[in-house]
Amino acid sequence: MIRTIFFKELKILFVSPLSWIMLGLMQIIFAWIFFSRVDYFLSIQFQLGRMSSPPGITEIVNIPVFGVCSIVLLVITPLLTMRLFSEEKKNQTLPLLFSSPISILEITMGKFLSVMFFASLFPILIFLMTSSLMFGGNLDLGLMISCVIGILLLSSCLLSIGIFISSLTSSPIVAAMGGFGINLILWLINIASEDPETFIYKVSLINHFENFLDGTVYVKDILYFIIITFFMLLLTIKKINNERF
Amino acid sequence: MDSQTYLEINNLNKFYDKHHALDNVSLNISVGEIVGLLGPNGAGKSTTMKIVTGNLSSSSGDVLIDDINIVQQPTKTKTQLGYLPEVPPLYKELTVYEFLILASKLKKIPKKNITASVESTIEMCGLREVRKKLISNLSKGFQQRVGIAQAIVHNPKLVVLDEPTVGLDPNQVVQIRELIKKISKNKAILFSSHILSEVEAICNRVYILNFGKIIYSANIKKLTDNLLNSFQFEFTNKFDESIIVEKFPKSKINIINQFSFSLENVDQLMINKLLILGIENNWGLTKMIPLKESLEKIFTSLTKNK
Amino acid sequence: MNKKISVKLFSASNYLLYFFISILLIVSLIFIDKFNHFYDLTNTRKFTISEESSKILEELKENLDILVFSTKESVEGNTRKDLHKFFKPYLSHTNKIILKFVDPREEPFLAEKHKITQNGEVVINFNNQSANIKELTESNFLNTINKLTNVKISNLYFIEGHGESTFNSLGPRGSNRFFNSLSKAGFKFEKFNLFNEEISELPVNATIILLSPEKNLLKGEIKKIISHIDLGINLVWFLNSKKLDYENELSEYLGIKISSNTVKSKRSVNLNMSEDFTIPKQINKFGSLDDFNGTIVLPFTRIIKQNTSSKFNFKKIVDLDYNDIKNKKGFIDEQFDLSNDNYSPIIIGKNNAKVIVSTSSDFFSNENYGLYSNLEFGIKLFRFLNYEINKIFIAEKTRDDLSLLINNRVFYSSNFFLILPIIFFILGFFVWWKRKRY
Repeated sequence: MIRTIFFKELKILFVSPLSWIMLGLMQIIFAWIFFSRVDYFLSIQFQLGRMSSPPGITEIVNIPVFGVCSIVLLVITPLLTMRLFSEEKKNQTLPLLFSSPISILEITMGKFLSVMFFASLFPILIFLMTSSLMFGGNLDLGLMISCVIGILLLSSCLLSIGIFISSLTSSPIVAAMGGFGINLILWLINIASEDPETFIYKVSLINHFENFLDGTVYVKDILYFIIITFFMLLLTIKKINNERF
Repeated sequence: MDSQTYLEINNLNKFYDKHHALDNVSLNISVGEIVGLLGPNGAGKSTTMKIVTGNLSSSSGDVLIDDINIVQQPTKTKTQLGYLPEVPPLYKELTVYEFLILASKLKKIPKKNITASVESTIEMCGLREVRKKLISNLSKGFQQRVGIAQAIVHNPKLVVLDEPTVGLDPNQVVQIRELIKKISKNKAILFSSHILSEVEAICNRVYILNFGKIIYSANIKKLTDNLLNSFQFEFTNKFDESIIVEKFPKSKINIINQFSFSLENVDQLMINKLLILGIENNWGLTKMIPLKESLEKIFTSLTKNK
Repeated sequence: MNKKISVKLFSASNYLLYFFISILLIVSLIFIDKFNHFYDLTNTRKFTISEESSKILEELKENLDILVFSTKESVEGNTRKDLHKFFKPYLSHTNKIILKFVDPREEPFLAEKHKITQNGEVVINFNNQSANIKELTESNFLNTINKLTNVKISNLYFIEGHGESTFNSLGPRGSNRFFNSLSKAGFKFEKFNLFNEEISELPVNATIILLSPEKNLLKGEIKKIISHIDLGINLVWFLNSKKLDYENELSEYLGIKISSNTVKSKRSVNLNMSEDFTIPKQINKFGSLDDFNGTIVLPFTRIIKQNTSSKFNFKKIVDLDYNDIKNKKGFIDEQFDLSNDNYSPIIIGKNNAKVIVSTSSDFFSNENYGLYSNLEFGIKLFRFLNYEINKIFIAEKTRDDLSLLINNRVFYSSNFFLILPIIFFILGFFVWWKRKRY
């Protein structure tokens, strides 16, 4: 049953030209960053041999693209999730789902997984694009995989927050605005927390992502994202269930 | 309990904070019946239907579909349930065909039967010409038909329709009614409306709802049968009730006011007698009205001033 | 009426539930901060610490306090985040490291106490000892920890019976102050009678101390000491201040010839000191003496010649100024080479055993010597008995991802991704156009 909702949402996503435009724009941004970093690397290449602990191709070219992706996700995820529940409420299509033999958990998971799938295209695109350098040099594949894992976890977290916000309102625009607002706050927290010793650093969303950019997959970071995703989805299910009261 | 009873609602209550939306509503429907739910706006028709279809929870009371409580086994009961709410739940970005395939999957039709079910539903609802069209590009009439299609694509035993003809032009209304009659074989259909003639035309039985209470229930056929050959007589002058009672001891006399009354089971002989009576006593017969709209009268008399 | 109350209760408990869930969420997020374990996926295992490092960290029994003096705003490459990054693998390996960041501008006195000279300087505190690290590399960090933690603190065994000074003797000539400081630093003291103890009873990290015996030791006693040294046990031989003949089996075994006379200095008179006290020209700082920055005064220095047949490795600690020596003639007669031979104290080593041959034991106590840092020198010298001669060397991890060649394959494959957005836009238009017609 989750599959039914999953494929239906994906279909609606991909028959809308907006999704393709989004993909195209994102790819332009990533490619732009990528090529400018390649340029930079080529210009400083010969200096690296002289440094005491030099960064490699992966650190200079690939990692910044993933870093940009994480910031761009803050803008994209509200757009992806805004329709999920608010449009159902607006068009009053929820009765079809409620009168069918499908549970709210299945509905929520189906929708969540569909946007996860879409959002996971971004790190995959980046991975493939940056891997093209493999033909001309050596890349740190482990480091890149760590970044992909980080982006996937970050997306799941942001998407689950977006789904919850979408379940609160029947206007997709309001849902998008709410999502932007929350993500803006998250971004500001990230900028404000430079000192690793502070409390704010420990609860900041994006700071937990940055360890993945180093190639270190921390157990606590994985747990952090999973816990938030789980709680947000739980709240969403509760909220939708309350619609019946 | 009738062995054929498919939907049974027992003492259903619904409170919205202090507002008592449904007050001990009980009704039942058997397979093959089309039951109408009548009532003014706000009476609780939609609320009842939402509870039956799992869109709303009740405060107390239970709903049994095929003897299974919908709260305890929602999945099992919903495979035999089709619902068309006031606003048809259509995904406008999909085509008719895609949408019905989706509905089939949602209703858990086995994979191998999906195409066949969808095709037959398309035929039955007259959607053949528009099957490849986007739902957003369809007229209201066709959209309503798609709404009914999603309610029956999985051939459920219970179909719940909430004001399915509202907003349609007269031709479309007739088409929808025909469709409902067509699909009613082997199904229990609960159908709500505030158009009395419609209920009269389609339903076997009717319940009238007002302020959350069932205030009247009747078998339409019996009602119309009773209303056959019933007439209402209107006079300029006051008539004498005792004379009428004396002359027509077996008939049911319904005094409406000092100037009019109605009689059931009136035959030609009685009419002649009455005419003579009227002339003899100088009552001054002005009107003789066949009582076809008495359902309306029942309705208005029961629901006004409350 | 009952139904109404239960409906109200349910909606009230809903808010309570949300509140409870939020609190649970925040608490669990703070709690998981303790899980510091991570998986290092990098090619070069950049964040995985070497085996030597993990061994040292695992053996830590007390807390290692690390103070990082870093301003809250710094240039890129040296920010608090970068410094925190450095300590990542160590923090995840052991919970005995307590990391604290201090802004030197906010705590100037603390910074001065630790003699901080640059931003990003790190001070490591362990067991009342501290050391500064200016350049933070794995090598430096570990060697500093190693220096401080002194995994094997030596037990000191004092020989008796030959007129040795006792280590708890009081008075200006007593070594009491020095040994007090040693005991504060963790050294343990035992008396050792060469005739009563069995060889096997001394632990492997023991050091035998000869505290300036006046009489020569018996052959049997020397034999016992030699067999101990062969087993890897250290020896500290404090020479007497009196003129003595040190030609015996012990010096023969060690391969040294000790002058019977002590050096007399010309210049010390000018400094209001007895001529028996010499100020060395140079102190060779190695091992535990690495960060010794004081000056010392040598009383009753003797010349120690290295025999060619010696099986020991020699390390010269002090160098005297040839021109400062007053009584050169006596030494030259005894065939000592004043320019090339060693002056006490020296350290010699064979396999695991280290032997310090030093001037009289009073040397280390500071009472008579005013501003000189003999005490500190002595403690550092004794630490050398525990210190591994081999410094930990962490090899720089080899990198092979430092060069990029743009060949045809790179060019075409990467440029495909430049065209990809156009493909996406075309697909989007196509999809829109197709659906529009429906």
